[in-house]
Amino acid sequence: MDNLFSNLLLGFSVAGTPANLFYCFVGAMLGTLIGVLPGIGPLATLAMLLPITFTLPAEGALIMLAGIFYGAQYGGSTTSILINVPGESSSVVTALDGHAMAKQGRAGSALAIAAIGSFFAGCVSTVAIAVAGPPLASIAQKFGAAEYFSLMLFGLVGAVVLASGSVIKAVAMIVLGLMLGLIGLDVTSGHGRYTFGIPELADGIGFVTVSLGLFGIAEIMTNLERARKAGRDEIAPIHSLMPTRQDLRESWPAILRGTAVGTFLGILPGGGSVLASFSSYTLEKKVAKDPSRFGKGAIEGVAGPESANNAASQSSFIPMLTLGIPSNAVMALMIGAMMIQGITPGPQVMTKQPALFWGIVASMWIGNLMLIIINLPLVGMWIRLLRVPYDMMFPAIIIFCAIGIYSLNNSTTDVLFTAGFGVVGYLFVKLGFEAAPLLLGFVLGPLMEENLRRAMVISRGDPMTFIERPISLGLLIAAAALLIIVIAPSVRKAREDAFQE
Amino acid sequence: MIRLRNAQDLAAGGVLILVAVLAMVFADNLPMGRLMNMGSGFVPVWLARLLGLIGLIVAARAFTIDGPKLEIWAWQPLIALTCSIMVFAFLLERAGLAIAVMITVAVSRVAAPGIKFLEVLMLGGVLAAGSVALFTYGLGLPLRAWPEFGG
Repeated sequence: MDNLFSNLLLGFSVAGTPANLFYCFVGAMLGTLIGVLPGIGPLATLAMLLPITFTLPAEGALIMLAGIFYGAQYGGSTTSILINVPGESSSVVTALDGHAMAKQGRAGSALAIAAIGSFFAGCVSTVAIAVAGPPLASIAQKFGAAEYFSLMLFGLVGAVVLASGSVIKAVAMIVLGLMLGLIGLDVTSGHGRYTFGIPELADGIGFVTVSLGLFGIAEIMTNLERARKAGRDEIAPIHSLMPTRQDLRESWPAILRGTAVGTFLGILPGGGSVLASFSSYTLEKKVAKDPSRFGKGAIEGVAGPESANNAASQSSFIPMLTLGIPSNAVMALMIGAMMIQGITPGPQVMTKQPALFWGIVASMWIGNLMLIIINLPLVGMWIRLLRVPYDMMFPAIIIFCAIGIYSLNNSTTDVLFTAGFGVVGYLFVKLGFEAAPLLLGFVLGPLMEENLRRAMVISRGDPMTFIERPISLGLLIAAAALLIIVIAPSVRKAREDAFQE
Repeated sequence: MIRLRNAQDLAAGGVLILVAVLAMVFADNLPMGRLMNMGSGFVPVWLARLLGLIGLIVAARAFTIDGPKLEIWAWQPLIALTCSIMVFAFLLERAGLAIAVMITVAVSRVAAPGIKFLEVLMLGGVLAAGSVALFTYGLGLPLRAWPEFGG
């Protein structure tokens, strides 16, 4: 316990410096600013804003990115409550009852409860990270190459199982991501792989290039397409931002349940905010005395999922920070950012760079506090932003993305590749592929290959090493069990139903 | 009788198979090595085989499971946005940030209907001025604002 406090104290002393407070604030503001735009989710927001963090010191950059992430999520909820155009899949749930409340003139209550629930969930999951982090990292430090390979395989399988949509197509995206990760010079032999004689490809394809193209550019394309089919929605007016006593009484059990569900689901590979908010909504509907109220403005339908969503997005930092394994695409992006900062993700981050680790943990809490303080009073400003026509917004976003990607390496080739990945991202949408698993594969690919080759050298080419080592065997069994479960017809049906809702 | 039930999956499987074949062809010159000492070609070739297999499964599903038809592509946003970014890449180092931004804005605006000349001009002007002020002068990034004359 003593350790916990001294660690958190260290964290707050790092996150509390004026410079880091500033980065956290700027991140939360920018994140909300972009996240509030209809149709742009946290992943796209992070991809767009990633380049601006590169000039900062490592701690500042990661603190700012975390701020952007929460801000974007928060902005997404605001948009889905006010105009029923969810920015991303985890806000879809919020839109159901949140927008119904807004239509009844209770937009203020919905926004306030979403903020309070998120803040509470944020506090709880910050503590969860601080408590669960050190033991997990100390287990992971005993891992050898074989264990790491199996762990990553388990992570990828989990991501497939819990992803929405077709399982086989999600596997295809992961394999494609692994293959993209191969591009460049092979570290062991120095052979160029898939470089086609282009010198810029020797170092591999940039992480930002892939994520910005697949998520940023492709998302704008699909938004424009959608905008042409559907008209603009009315923005619901806000009367009072104070929730009534009854609102609070009805919400707090939902906030507690949502926080618990979210914290747990966020840790699982492939889990994260989407799964958490869906599960929480289903749970609230089950425990409610009168389930028919849902979809018509039940405040629990906002309070639960919003808390779950925030709890999960924070607890998904646990595997990322302690094991170096991203559990979803957003965390893959964070790992990519760490690597660009020269930090090797893994259990050694906590022991070798305690200031960085605990600084990020503490900044999560500070970021949540800032969001609740800046967002409720600023909600008027976000609404004004929603009134700016998208026709004027998207050229600005394109410019911003293009300058960002260029300034990474001062390379116009990177800009061209980003345009290419935009086209690929659009193709994926049209063919029913979900691009998020690809990013996981892309980040984990090089690590997996390295650990596979190392494990094979150590075992003198005996693949049984993965089965003979108990931790590795356990992870492989868990992965196989997950796969069998998802392929089994009964579970498949239930899963489809869950995502239908 | 075999009937196509899911055109989207047939196309998706086809794309996967194509990528897998290309990946195998281009990994052909890489040594496979042995399990104990894997060559640089080992992982690429096996991943390509796996992707090809998945592609076959996805394509086969198109005849067994009902699914969506192929969606119509919205060519206008796709081409306009892609071209606008390529134009930016082409112009940035040749004409400077200000001009690159103006033209990129104009090209990208074609992606949405209802273009008003004055509106595009103003948006481009504001964004060009803003990005030059913020990125070149404010953040001091090595982005030249104007074309070099006489050089």
